Amino acid sequence: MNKIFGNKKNIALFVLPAFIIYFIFALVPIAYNFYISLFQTDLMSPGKFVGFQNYVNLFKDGTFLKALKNNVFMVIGSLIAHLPVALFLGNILFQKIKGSHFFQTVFFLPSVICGVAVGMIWTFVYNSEFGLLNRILEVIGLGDLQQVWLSNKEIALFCIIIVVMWQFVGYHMVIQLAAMKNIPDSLYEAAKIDGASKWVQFRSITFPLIKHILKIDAVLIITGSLKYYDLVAVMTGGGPNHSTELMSTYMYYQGFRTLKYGYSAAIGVILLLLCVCAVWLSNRIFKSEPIEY
Amino acid sequence: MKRRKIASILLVGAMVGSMLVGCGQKGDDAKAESGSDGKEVLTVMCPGTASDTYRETYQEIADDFSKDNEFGVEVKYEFYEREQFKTKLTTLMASNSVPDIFFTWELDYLKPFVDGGKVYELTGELDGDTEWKDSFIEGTLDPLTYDGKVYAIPTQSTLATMYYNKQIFEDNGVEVPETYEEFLEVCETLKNNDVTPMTLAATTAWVPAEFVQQLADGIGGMDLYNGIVDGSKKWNDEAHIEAGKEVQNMIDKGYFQDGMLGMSEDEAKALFQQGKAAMYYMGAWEVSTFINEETTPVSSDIGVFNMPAKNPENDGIIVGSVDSSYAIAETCKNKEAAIAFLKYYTSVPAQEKLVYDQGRLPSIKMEFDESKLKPLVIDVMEVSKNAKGMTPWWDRVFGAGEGVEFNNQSLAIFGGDDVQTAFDDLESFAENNADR
Repeated sequence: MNKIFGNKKNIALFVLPAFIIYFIFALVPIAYNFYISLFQTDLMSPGKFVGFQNYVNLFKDGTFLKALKNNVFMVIGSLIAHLPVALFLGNILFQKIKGSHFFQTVFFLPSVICGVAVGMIWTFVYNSEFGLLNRILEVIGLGDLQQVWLSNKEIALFCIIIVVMWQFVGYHMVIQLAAMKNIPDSLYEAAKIDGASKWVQFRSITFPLIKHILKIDAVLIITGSLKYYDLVAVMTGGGPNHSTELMSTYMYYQGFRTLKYGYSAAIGVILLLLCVCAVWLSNRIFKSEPIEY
Repeated sequence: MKRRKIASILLVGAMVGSMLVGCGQKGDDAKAESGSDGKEVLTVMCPGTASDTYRETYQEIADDFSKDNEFGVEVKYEFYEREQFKTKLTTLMASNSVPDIFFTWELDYLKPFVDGGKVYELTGELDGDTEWKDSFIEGTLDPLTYDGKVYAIPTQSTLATMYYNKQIFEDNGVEVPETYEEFLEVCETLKNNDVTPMTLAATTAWVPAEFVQQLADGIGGMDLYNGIVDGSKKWNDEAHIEAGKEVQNMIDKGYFQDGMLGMSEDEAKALFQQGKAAMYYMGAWEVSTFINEETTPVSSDIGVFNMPAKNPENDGIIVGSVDSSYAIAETCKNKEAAIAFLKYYTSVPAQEKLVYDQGRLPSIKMEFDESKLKPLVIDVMEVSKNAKGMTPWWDRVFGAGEGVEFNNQSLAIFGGDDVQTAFDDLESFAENNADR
């Protein structure tokens, strides 16, 4: 084995198929996307070269700015649910309590269901006429709080963010839990003998030792919520009146509905840049050394 | 070691297998390329879901044509859900793989495809067969004409109208309103008698938009429509503002059903179908549903009237247009057969099927056998006959950009937003959207 992989040519040969696929389906589209973002085009008639005009227009477009803002809310909401909350849940299940496997499965379950199905389920939950939520509010005597949840533009976005938080909290919890389980038991035993409380154990042993995983997780969370699409598309389609529009849904709308593909491509480029920035930033913030136990 | 190898090979096999399955499957609606008895197949792409009864009638027309035509082709329909249809059509257009014939909306919807040279021009065919050309009702070809050239054939005409429940009207001692004031009085009386005057779906943006447009038509008339089309009037025109305020006035007074803002099209329609609301403003295509007594218990009580205009001189100006137009793709291999199909579709036998079975108004001039027409269809034809002018839905005139934005802002007005702000936003959107 070592002989084969000792040769750089062989390595290249084995990487090649994957690279070709990656090149055709990722790099070329990104480059082409940037290219058409410089045009005003519906991809049917010959386009008009406008340089960076699409980008200038984007930052004058109220709907895009709103989508950007909504994305920021989405990132914040996801970060809250998928770092502290997931970590808290993960740490509880890490304590070898009874039925921790069962709860692990329960928390993980929503992230296994496909996004469209989750969207359908919650659309019914939020339905103003026969939805579960309004019904519960009525039964417990809080009928005044009943809302047309997904049609009220003040709160529709937050209704969706809550679903996103709910859907993926288990997923991130499992990632973090797996990292915790990698930590040798001997460390905790030593800490116990020294009389460290659970909180001190978490703060001084668990957290520092899973920091590198948290970093990767944070990158996943941020990029995931920046390019988030499916729940919004299913539950509100960006409405009412663009109030739940995210960058990705607005990109879809400008591309496939208004046929302004150049403009839509420009949104795609901004989205890509933001994701790259987010990755870079979280790399900076969570700077960590590789760990040897 | 060996066992592990076998296991991994099996796993890889399973993975590749599942990928292939994923690739091979096609939706239920998509049909295979070659037809029965190896006939050449013409594919028609059209919006429609399993609950739409018109699908059967469309396919029947296609089958009748397939049975015997000189080209020996078989016509097959591919139906897609409406939003899916829009996405699919634009994607197929950009990649030059549109089916032979496709359903299209008129005006701005088809325009980019025409500009891109994706649609086969029909002017020559129409001029070559004047009998066909003259069979269409005057003006129905206009919304499908670009730069003096016709690119699609209208197969139906339609309009938006106010359906009402005759029984409820009678029980509450109200009559079909002739003027706008009377209309408001009818609503008020019904409301006071604890009857829901109107039902409307405010989760689908074009539904409230249709209603706002009708009120604006009644206030600003054809001048408003033409002005906005040619750019001499702005979206935040007085007439629009007034129409928006009228709507909010109606909502404040409780003329619409409770929970309107959260109701989908089907839910709102169901209230009317079950006799729980007195009026329902919707397109004439809904006749297909309302003449079906199984789905509509109050079927025999339904009548229609023309929404009275606030400025009486604009009475009879209604939201309406041609409908279900068909265009032929430039990539279609057998254009002669495709044209023959369109001719058959707009011939008397096919149009009779549409009007008698589905209550769809024809796009051609023809005589009717009144005994075969459902009473509701006769009523709708009456409204259509009395129409002085028709303004097509804004989202058809301006397509997805401004048109859809008009829908969105109408929805916002129904949701209680300030009317002036909503239309100001629309105007500034329209100005910015031009150079995107």
